[in-house]
Amino acid sequence: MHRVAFVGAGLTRFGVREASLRDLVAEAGQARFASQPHLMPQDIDGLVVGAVLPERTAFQSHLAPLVAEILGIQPRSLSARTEHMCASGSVGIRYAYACIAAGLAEVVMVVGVEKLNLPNTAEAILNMGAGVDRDWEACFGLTAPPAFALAAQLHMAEYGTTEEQLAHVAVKNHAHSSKNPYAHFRKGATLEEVVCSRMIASPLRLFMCSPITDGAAAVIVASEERAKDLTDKPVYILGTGQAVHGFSIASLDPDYASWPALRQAAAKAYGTAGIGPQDIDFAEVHDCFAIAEIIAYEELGFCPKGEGGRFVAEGRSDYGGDVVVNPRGGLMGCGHPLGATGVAQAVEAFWQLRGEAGERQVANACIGLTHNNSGMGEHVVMLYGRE
Amino acid sequence: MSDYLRALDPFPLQGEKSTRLAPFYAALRQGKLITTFCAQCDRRHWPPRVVCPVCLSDNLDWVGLPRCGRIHAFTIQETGVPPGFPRPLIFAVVDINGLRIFTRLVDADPTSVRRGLEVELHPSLVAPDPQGEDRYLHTFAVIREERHD
Repeated sequence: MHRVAFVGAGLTRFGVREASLRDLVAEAGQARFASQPHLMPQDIDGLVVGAVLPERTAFQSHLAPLVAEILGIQPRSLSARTEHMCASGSVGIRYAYACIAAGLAEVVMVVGVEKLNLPNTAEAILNMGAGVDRDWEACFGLTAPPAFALAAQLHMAEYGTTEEQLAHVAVKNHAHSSKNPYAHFRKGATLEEVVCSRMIASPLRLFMCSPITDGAAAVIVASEERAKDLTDKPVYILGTGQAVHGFSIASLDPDYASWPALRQAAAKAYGTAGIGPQDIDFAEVHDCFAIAEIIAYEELGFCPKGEGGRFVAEGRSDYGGDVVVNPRGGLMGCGHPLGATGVAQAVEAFWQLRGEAGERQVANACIGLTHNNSGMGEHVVMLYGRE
Repeated sequence: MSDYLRALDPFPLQGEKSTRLAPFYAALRQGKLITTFCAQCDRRHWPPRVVCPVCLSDNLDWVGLPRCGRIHAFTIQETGVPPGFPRPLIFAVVDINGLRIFTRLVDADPTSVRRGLEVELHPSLVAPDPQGEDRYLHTFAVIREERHD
């Protein structure tokens, strides 16, 4: 089995973009190329595209060959689209990793892209229900915020987690994204602004939720042998784990404040890499909502179960703390273009581990983690390192 | 209905020609809550199933459920509600004999909803299907209790 590494990356600005899905793909491809002009489109033998709702938001299916055409790539080893709701990007990276490790491909571009904003915002919100159980949840009007609100309600009831602790996650991530030129939100947010923001689905307020965002991200994944020719600082995939315990809320264990699927995915990743949570220098975790980051601290092993609220309020998930969580600003700060998010997390890990994260640089970053979820019972964890 | 577009219909198709779970919806139209039971596994499912997720048998029985249960968790959504749905949306997970049923509460005062509150099946009529047949959803309503001061 070959070792696999990232050798290049590129990102678009995330936000409410005056750009089509195709424009975003072109922008991410150009950004990657600008950072690495010696790797031409014809040098890329495989392509994986992570995208969730192009059929609805662009009336376009069949995405991988479209992206290949836009970027001048003619795949000769691998062409695929991965869809796993919000984890599509990470699932795409894992698929490329597996194919390269098996010797099926050598240099694969993984592109994550999502165009969510539409001329009619009501349609954009309607589309948000496509990811939950149509027949038993979406038919009632369910979308992601109320689903995760249930986790927040139970976490507050069981562990005494407070609204202020949820708000701390938002303040931290908005502070981080204010230093990220690619982020949706760049102005920062005060505790008061967060706590006073409009209620979305109790107890989650506007600033505790990730926004509706357009964007694209790209990484180049290569075998270790090829990586050494393509960059002097490859970033290696050290381990990975994925688990799905259920799709609909009804099928999950009734304690929504605990996410055993995340614990399982993390254990697999840590186990294959031979490391533990104490070795993680920074982590991009899936803060679709503030409660998701708090629960992620616990299930990833950064703090004991139930202590996540205190962990963030005490600054332990910030620069100068135990582990820097969401240095790029996470989903709350950068936005959440569904298929692009997992790849954007990987881009941040790539830059951090090469010392290229500018103002956001985590000192002595040696090992990074990304966590991408697609529901309370569905999680992907990736571990990256310099060697 | 020649102008029906499946991509814009938020509700499941409920007729016999559209789903093997048609009996669930037929019972709902009678105000009853039923679900599937696998005799081989001695196990009730929620939501109702076409195949048992344990043994993959499709030889499943339909069994009745009580109409009442208690709220296990809930949330009230005021913003970001999809078009065509009421505001506020009150979502709840209702515990009925150990099954956890995701639903929406109708005719409820948001300020009075709490965990443990007893609720009762109260089906809601939604847009008809392309053949013009009525469709219902398994919404729930708060049981009005007498106060004991």
